[in-house]
Amino acid sequence: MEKTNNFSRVQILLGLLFLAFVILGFRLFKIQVLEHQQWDSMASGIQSQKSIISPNRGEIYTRLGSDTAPLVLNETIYTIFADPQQIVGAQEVFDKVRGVVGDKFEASLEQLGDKSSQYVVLARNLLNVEKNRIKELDLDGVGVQRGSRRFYPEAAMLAQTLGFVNRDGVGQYGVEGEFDEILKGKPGLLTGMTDVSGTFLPTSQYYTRIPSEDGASIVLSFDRNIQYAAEKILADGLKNVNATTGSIIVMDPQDGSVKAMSSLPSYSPADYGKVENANLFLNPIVSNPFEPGSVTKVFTTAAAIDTNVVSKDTTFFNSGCVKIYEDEICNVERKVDGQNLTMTDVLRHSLNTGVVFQLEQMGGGAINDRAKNVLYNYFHDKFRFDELTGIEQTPEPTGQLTAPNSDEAWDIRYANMTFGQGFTTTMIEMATAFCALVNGGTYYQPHLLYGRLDDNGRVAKQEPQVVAKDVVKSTTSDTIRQMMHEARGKKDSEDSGHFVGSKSGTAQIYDAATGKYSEENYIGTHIGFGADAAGQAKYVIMVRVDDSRAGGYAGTIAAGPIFTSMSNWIISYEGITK
Amino acid sequence: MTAKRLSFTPTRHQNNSMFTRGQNLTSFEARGKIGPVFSVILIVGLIAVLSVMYLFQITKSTSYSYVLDSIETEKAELLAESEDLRNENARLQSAQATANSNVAASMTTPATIEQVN
Repeated sequence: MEKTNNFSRVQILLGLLFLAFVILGFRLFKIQVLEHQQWDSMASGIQSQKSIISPNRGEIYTRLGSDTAPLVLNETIYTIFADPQQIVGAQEVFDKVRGVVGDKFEASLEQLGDKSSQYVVLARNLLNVEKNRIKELDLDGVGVQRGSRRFYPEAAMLAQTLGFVNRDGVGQYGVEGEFDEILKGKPGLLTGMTDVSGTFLPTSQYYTRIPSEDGASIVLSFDRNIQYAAEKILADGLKNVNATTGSIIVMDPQDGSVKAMSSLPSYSPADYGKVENANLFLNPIVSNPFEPGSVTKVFTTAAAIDTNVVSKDTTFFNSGCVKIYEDEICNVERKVDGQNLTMTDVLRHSLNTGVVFQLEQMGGGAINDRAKNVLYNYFHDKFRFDELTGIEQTPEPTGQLTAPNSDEAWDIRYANMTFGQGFTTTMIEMATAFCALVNGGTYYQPHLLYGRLDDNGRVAKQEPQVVAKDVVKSTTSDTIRQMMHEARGKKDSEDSGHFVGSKSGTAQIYDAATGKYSEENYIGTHIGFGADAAGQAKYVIMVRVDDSRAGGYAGTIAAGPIFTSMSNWIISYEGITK
Repeated sequence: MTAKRLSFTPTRHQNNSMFTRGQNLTSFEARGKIGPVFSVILIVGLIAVLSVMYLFQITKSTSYSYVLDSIETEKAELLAESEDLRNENARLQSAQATANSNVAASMTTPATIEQVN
């Protein structure tokens, strides 16, 4: 018997179709309902992107009279890249782009022909003009990325003070390092759907934009013109004595602000990557402790006068040398041996025996614990020779001063300390203390920040901070200014007829290898002030020359002329009265 | 097929069993009928038109994104150009440039200086 077929072909087809729909429906149900979360997040992961919005870094300005002048600005730069999978004709891209960017072209023809790669950098650090010329070429597979870097309109001015910003956008050394937190700003965030090329679609769902906050711009206390003059005068001064290494600092003693600060050798912050010796990144005025030498005699004399153990006109017998146990301290200048001399003469002839005499007077006639405590009190507590000043520069090491209760607080050490040997300090520590000495006795926090620039271009000035008052009596300050003016011994014409006082120092360099002071290498220093008609100190200058080849006393021969040139320049520039 | 027309004169308080409150007094019968196939085509057509309109709207919305992106790019380029000009201005007014300028080169040292204050 023949078996009958119960289903027609159409019914079978319909059945299969129905089954397919059921499977499809189930599959859709599974994807859209049961696995909704998983697929939704997967889709979002592909379509939605996040992008960091880089803030503009704050800019740095300096003062220019009552105005401001830019020191560090931002500059938009471009990186040109190619996608070898999209470019049409590697040779054409190679020739045309290289024709525009010249030496900046950094890709090879092989790299452009490598179809396994999708990103080859053709040139970096291009300016807007060059970027536009590349875009005009209209080359397929060639793209542009925008970036930013620092621009220095004053070139290498203040390089060691400013520091630089590295490739990661982080401030390094100097002001850039110290103020990185306020200069860098806060990055923003862009999230949302993108198209296949990665372009954000602001009209799409989930688009959010948290704007970046630009860094604050700051104004430094330097006066651009004084700074320019200081750099030039220092360079010329070093050249005159065949020296290569030296520093100069100009401060306002009435508020502790730094008006100029320069050291040589230096570098160009725009080319920081080419610097081979990392020590060049340090600011020697802040970071390089040294034995200051005879400029210290001003401070020893101030301490002696302030404690009333001597006066300006106190005399002592200058025997030329003084014996301290086995050691003997002698003067460098022997022309005035065997004479009764005043304390002003001590400064004028830079007599070591004179300041040792002052130390003895602090101890009631001998170098004893009392004398050491008095001197240490002034050097440590009042002049803060071994304390961090807190100036906005890093690193700032402290000087080293031997406390009276130390095992090494020998009499000879304390005798040496009176004329600047046996302890170390930095130029900023000494110049700041000197400001207090000549301004009436107020120790101001030395600072580089004048204020912050607001959105309207106005400067929110930062008030100077007083660290200590009555470092010395105001009468002591008056006396010291007068003594330094007399001791300077310059003709009026040399100081433009102004009330200027200074003291030089020529310090031997201690050689750790031999344990002795070198007879060949000296550090020449010069510190002083200029005052107006009322006798108020208007500026303080300190100069240091490390490797003078001119012979004689480096403090006088090498550093002295730099001080005088700078002093006269400021008198003229600021119109200081006489 | 023709529709019946009835003559009717409404009067108040009329009590006629043919016409009671709430009943339509006229009726309409279409001259032609839409078949099921045509209805399906019509619905599909309408859905297609709506889809096209939806797609058009979405595309238009997305195109605004590109307009915005283009404006943002243009703005960034203008800012960059402005920045370049400002930087060049700063460079030209720098102390070094000023010192090396022709104006500075042509300056002479005065024979005497007198300060008034």
